[in-house]
Amino acid sequence: MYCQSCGSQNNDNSRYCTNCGRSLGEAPGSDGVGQPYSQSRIEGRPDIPNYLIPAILVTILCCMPTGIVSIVYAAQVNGKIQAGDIDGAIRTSKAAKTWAWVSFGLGLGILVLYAFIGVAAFGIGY
Amino acid sequence: MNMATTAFVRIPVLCGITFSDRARYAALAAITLAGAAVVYTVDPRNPGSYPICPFLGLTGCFCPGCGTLRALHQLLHGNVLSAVGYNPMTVLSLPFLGYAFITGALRAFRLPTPTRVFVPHQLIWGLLTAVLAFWALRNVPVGPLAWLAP
Repeated sequence: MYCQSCGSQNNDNSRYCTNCGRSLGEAPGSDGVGQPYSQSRIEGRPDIPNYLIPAILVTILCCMPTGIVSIVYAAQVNGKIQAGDIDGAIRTSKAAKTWAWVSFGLGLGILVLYAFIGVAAFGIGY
Repeated sequence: MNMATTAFVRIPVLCGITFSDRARYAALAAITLAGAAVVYTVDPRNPGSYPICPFLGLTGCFCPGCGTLRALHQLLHGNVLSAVGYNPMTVLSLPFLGYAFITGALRAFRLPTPTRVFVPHQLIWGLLTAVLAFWALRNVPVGPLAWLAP
């Protein structure tokens, strides 16, 4: 699916454009364009993901220092929502998403590294 | 959006597979149950059961996540107090993680969902302060602070 506002390619089941944050499935000019994340609200505020849950998971359950960065981003997303800076919140939300993936990639990388070390040690004859 | 960011965001697109929210929550539940089965069975207190945490291995210091496996093992065996002893923050965070998972899954399956909560940014900054303080203090092996070590 291509975003009708900025032309970026998105997953077919995405609700919002990953590039500009506008709602997908609504033609330009119809209601909702220019009001990204207008379909879903939390306590009357726009529902912009802050990735706080992955941040907590990474920090406390997986002990990754990158989790600290994710918590900072989550706080900034909600701070900007509270200040009414919706465009800024969407931009920070994208950065938060990136860090969630970086943490996931690092965690997976370390697991693979352990697997390799394990195989190497076994091969040597430990 | 720079190239690095795009690469991370587009990974599911590149693989040619897209996942619905329902599939994601079902997969998450399956992975959690499988993980719980392993942690229930394999006692992390026995050396060599699990690989050592890279942060502990490299620095010799406890991070905020240290003791989580041992805490989860104790919780799964019904020993709440010894779980708190290994990592109080893990035990405290679990009800919140559970609530987030349940509300998210109910929404994905379009079932009646309890009110979703907006977390004020002041609270998230408070959480960050708490995590950093916990990280520092559990590495101080003096008097009552030693209790925070795993």
